[in-house]
Amino acid sequence: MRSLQDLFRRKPTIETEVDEELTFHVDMQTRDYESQGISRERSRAMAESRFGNVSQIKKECVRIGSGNKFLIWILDALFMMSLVTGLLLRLFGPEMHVNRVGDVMMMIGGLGILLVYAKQCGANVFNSTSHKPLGLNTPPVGFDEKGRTPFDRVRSDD
Amino acid sequence: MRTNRTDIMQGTLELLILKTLSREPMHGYGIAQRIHQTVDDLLKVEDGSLYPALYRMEARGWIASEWGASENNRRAKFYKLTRAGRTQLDAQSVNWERVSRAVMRVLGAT
Repeated sequence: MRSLQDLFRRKPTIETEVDEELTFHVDMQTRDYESQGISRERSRAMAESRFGNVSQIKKECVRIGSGNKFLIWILDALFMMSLVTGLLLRLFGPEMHVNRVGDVMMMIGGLGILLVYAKQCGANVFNSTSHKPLGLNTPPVGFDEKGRTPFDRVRSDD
Repeated sequence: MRTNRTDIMQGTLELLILKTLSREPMHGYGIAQRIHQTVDDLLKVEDGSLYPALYRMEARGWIASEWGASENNRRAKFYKLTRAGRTQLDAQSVNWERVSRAVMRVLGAT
């Protein structure tokens, strides 16, 4: 049911998504600084400075994210064309063998569109245990059983 | 605050992200915080540099994302490791061990 709702809901543009994500990051960092007793304005400035060049990063993310969506758009368009052409051949094809070609094209188009959407939905579906609190206040997690990062391991090998 | 922080090597950030996400799904800010806590400010990781890396890794299929609610009930994009990402993490970890061992051997040679 949720996947059906997602299918018909108007999808936000990649720009909006990136913007919202980066704004969330800077807002969270600002809140973190504020909780340390720093003024709101100073916290905001520190968070923005720590983040780096927002507009350049946004542009880069949109460029990378668009590449992926463009490929999906191309695939969708190709399968849709196959479906429509197949349907036209099936309806208006003068001979039996042309009708059969139409059937095959309709099948390829329909299955292709289904697969593209299934892939998109499948890639975004999380199991119910994924929405756990992040536990940002817990002690840092190490990279191996002894809590060492790869860099610590290099140092300890020395 | 430490002053002798080292710039992160190219490609290392992806390994750090993969390892961080191997524990649990997280949003970008959570990943950044966890990396900063773990490397204890020894490495200079600019927060913003994380996002192009995340988008690249998602395009390669190593991680997947979904919008959800953050701990303060705001909409946030959560990332999780995919099966391909886990394979990549194993491969990159082995490679990192090999490279670091080789470099240390050269540095330790008299």
